[in-house]
Parts: sequence; structure tokens; C-alpha cells
Amino acid sequence: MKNISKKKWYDYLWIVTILYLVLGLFNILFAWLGLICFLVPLIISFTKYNKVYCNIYCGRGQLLNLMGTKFSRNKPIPKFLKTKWFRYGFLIFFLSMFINMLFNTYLVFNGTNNLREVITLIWTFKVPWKFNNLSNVTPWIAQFSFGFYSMMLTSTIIGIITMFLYKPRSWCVYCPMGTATQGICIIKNKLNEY
Amino acid sequence: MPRQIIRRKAYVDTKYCVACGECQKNCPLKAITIYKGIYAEVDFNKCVGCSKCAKVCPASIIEIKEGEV
Repeated sequence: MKNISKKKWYDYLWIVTILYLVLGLFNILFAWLGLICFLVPLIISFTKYNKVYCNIYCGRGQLLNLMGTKFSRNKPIPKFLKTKWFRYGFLIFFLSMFINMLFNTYLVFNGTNNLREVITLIWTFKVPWKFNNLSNVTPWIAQFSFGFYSMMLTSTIIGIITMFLYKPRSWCVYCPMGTATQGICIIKNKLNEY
Repeated sequence: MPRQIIRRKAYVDTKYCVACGECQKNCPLKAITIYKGIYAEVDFNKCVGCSKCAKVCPASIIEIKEGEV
């Protein structure tokens, strides 16, 4: 049985994800655009109470699917990765890293720290990134870009690793945004019951 | 005695479903919907148990079982 439904514009959002990652390599300030991927799913889940972003518009999911057709081993994901403990634990960990990144941005904003032109991969490996001329940019704006791009690149790398090891969209199982939006939908649904 | 028809159908383990919508997208009969952004729900009247959803489910929580109609 072949799914013969015609492709829509949103089926090509994986191109946007690639563009985002590539543009970020050339100019780190493009990292700010990644906020769209953070805010849109949250706004949708808060207002519409669904996961339509994950279901239809997630460019990263589409990209992983596309890469998965060639490179995925298509094995089942380990059970612990799909438990609520792991998923919500990973969400809390991700949020704390996000807050830490915001705090670093604040320290640059108030002059305590200087701008650090570094991309941190998997929260550990620091890669010096001095290819951009940021002399005309407010330091905290650049610092946020480095922090945010590090997060986006890190989550993409983890997504690609699990795409290869397990099923193409294994990242979706523990994606912090997916967990957060599902959590919002669950809470909203429970509130409606009372 | 009425004849019983046994058909294969997709069963979702809603406890582990992350509502990613991958099954919904791949279902050729549009038998799957995402219930309020919480989990995938299968319309047993439409499902023929083709197992496409089970193959793509990233959490591998869809099982194809035989059920009575």
C-alpha cells in the first residue's frame, strides 16, 4: 500500500533545518532564528492544545526521517529511553542547560564576563569559533547566539546518533520540546476534566 | 451462531506514546489520529493491520494483534 498523497509546502521544512545549521556556521547570529523552533511548538500547545508542530511542521523530524531512509539501522529504541523518568529528566536537564546559557548571556550583558567565541558540543567539548567578525555586534547578543547554536547543534548531533542506532525519528521519543508540549496537553486535558 | 471475523489491528501502548504523529502520517487509510496531543488513537473500523505504523513508530510501541470484529 503506497501513500500517494501529494506533498505539501510543510513537507519541505527539513530544508529550513539544514539552512539554519549551515547559515549558523557562516554567521553565528543566525542562531537567533532557532527561537522559532522553541516558541512555535509552545505557543501552539498552549493555545491549540495539540502537538501539530511535532506532527507536521518539525523540520528536524523530517530531516531525521530523510536521513534515516539511508542510514538508520531501524532497531527498536531501548525501553529506558521511553520511560517518563528519562523523558522528563532529559527535559529538566535540557532546561537547566538552557537557563545556564541564559545566565552566561546575562554575565556578558552586565559586563562580568567577556564574550566567549566558543561552540560547546554535547555540553562538554568547546570548539573555538572565531570565524565571524562580531566587532559591530552587542556582546550579549553574540553570546546568546553561541549558546543557542551550541544547543541546537548538540541536539541535532544526538538526534543523528539515535537516528543511526535506532529508528529514524528516535529523537522524537525524548525530544525536550516534544515532551514539554505533550506535558502541556496532558495538564490542559486534566484541568478540563475537573 | 454468528460468524466471527478475526482481523489484524494496530494497538498503541498509550503509556509510552509520545504523540509524534509518525504513525498518523504513514497510515494509508488515515485510521490514526493524535488524541489531544497526548497519544495516538486507532480507528478500528478503518485499521486493516497493515503494520506500516508499527514499522515507523520511533518508540516501537505499536503492536499488530489479531482481534475480533
